[in-house]
Amino acid sequence: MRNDLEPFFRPRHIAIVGVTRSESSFGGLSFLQKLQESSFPGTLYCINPRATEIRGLPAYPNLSSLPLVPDLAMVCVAAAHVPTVLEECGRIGLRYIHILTSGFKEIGTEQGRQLEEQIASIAKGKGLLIIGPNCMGPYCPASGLTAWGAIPGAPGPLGVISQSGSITQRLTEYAYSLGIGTDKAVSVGNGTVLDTLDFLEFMGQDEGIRVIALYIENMRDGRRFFELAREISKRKPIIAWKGGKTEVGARTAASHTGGMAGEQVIWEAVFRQTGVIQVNSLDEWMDAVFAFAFLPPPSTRGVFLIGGGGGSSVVSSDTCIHEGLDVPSPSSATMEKLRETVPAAGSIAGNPLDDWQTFVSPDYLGTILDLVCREPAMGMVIVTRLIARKAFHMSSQPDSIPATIEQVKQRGNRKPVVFVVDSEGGDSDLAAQGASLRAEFGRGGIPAYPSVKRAARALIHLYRYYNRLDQIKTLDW
Amino acid sequence: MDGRRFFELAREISKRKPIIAWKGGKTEVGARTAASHTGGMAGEQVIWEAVFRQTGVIQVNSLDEWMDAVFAFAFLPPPSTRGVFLIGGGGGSSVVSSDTCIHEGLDVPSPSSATMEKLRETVPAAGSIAGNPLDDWQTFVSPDYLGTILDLVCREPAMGMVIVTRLIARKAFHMSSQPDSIPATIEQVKQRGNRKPVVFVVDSEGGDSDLAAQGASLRAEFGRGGIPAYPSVKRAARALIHLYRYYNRLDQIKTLDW
Repeated sequence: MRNDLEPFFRPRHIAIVGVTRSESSFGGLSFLQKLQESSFPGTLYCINPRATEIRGLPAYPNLSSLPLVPDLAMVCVAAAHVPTVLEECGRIGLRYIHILTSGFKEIGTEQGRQLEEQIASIAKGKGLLIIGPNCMGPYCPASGLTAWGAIPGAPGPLGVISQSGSITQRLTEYAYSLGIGTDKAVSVGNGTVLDTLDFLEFMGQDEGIRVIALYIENMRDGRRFFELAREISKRKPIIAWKGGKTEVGARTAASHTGGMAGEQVIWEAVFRQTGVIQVNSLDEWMDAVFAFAFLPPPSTRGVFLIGGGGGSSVVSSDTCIHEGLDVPSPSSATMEKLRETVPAAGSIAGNPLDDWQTFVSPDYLGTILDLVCREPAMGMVIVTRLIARKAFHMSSQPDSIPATIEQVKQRGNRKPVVFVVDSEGGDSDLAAQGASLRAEFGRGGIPAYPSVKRAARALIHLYRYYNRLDQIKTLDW
Repeated sequence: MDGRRFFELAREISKRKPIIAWKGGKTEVGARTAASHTGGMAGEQVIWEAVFRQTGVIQVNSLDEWMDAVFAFAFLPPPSTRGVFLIGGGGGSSVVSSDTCIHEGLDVPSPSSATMEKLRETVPAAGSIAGNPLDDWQTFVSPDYLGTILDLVCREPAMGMVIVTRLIARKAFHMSSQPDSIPATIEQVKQRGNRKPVVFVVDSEGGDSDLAAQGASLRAEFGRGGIPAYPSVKRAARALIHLYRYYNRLDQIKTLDW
């Protein structure tokens, strides 16, 4: 049981070891600054033997001279000094340590390799729990621990474990902007002492986390990953992005975190057999998180498309089918109902449904959703929401998003419903409008995507995950 | 569609200018909808794909892919090889950018030893990665530095194209806000006379409307400067492989005197 990692995310006293007085490059000072900006509720201690005060805080020459033993040390000194700091942590009984510093195994030198071995052996000898080196460390908005990523961020269902600091930062920011909070995130870097697997086991047990997003470059113990992932996948989705799948990617991964990435084909088999959802880009990762955070299990792979024009309806069907969804014909009872309200000319009654009334009247959209809910073949719904603009012959509409969200919510999340709001291109007003519409849906608990392709990809991930769970239960696997 | 006439027209025109086609109604349901939309029956997917392949028509499958290809063909010279040099945005991003480019059909060749030597002179040893992809924060802050890197790439026969990731400074990252260096960056690319296709990636995804607006105007600024800029490496790579395949086919046709 990996139940000793919680303190990394709930520190009240943090020592930042190696805070320079002026900003030269990225390091301890930037961490201090971010924690101050986000009003970290605990106490921050700066360690710098050549300073007495930094950014309004007293500076201490070393960890031993602090008035108490901090809960967490963030180590930012140059690589060569890291072992000395760790020895001191051991002496004063400071067990929770994050090492930001890079310049270890990942730079490919003998000295780097030796320093990293020293970290491992000191940790073992003194019983230290270490995140890193070469990483951004822990992140937890609920306890104000936001030295990076979305600041201040918000608590929520997401857990992130990543071998890349920049990718983790970006995901927390991306999710936050769409109304999905993060419970805990950790950038593990070289994973010398604690690695991805330790945090996977921990987040698997953590009831606050409903969706786990994983970025992996390499893995020391494939068997343990397999067993953990298989167990956890039965309880919550693990959405994994494997970096270094191609030979070149793997070569870069070796310089990045110092490990060798395994064979693509093995990884794909492992993900398939353990029920891990595999994605291949930042957007696909986020799109899947969005779906899993908010949507109920779909009953079938059939999707009902509420469209945006004739041509768009044609290609939306193509896209959904290409992504693995079905676009079933409505039953004759539904078709009869549709023909009562859908104009005969200029619209298309059917699936996809192309009917301008769905854009302008949330109530009308509601009645259509009722029809779809009664159709056993339709497991999910994609609604395209156009933004009124000059290029189209649409008059500007009063904002109907709150009423639209209300219509969807009233139907109690029985079937997954997502929206598509396209705002592509170099028009910054349109881009801003699209982003805020998608965020408004997100804050309302409804995923909204910039394209049908991305919506369809997220929904097929959702369908496959829950469909596999059903099969496992039937087999009592 | 009169298939035979389309075939002949497309084959001739494709030799002179790119035709970027999006075929709606490729799936059975799509075709059913197309029948209600314009009253014609859409042909078989497999026939269309063969026609596009044989005539050199560039086939796309979404609005974004269509626009992304138009952006590339409107501005870029023919690439000499399918090798791309990636100027990156962080270690993890460099890893996945390579994966993405290779997945889309591009190559990510290793730099020659002469170039590696040059890179090691300027790229910091810790926290950066010298090579292809190149992960070096100096490329974000100094257009001149980016220019010297582009010079190195221009001399590498294996590198046919360049993708540069341009991060937007913001709270989530430990980046201080930079003065706007886009005009200087465009200037650096233009000075090198469009010898190799150079595109930018500016990611501004998500629900933050300020970020979205900033990303859209940065991409538009590059576009007005004659340089394609995309919201993701995936989309940049897809556009570049279309570009490569089109011109590569033209070369083969010329050789065969087809």
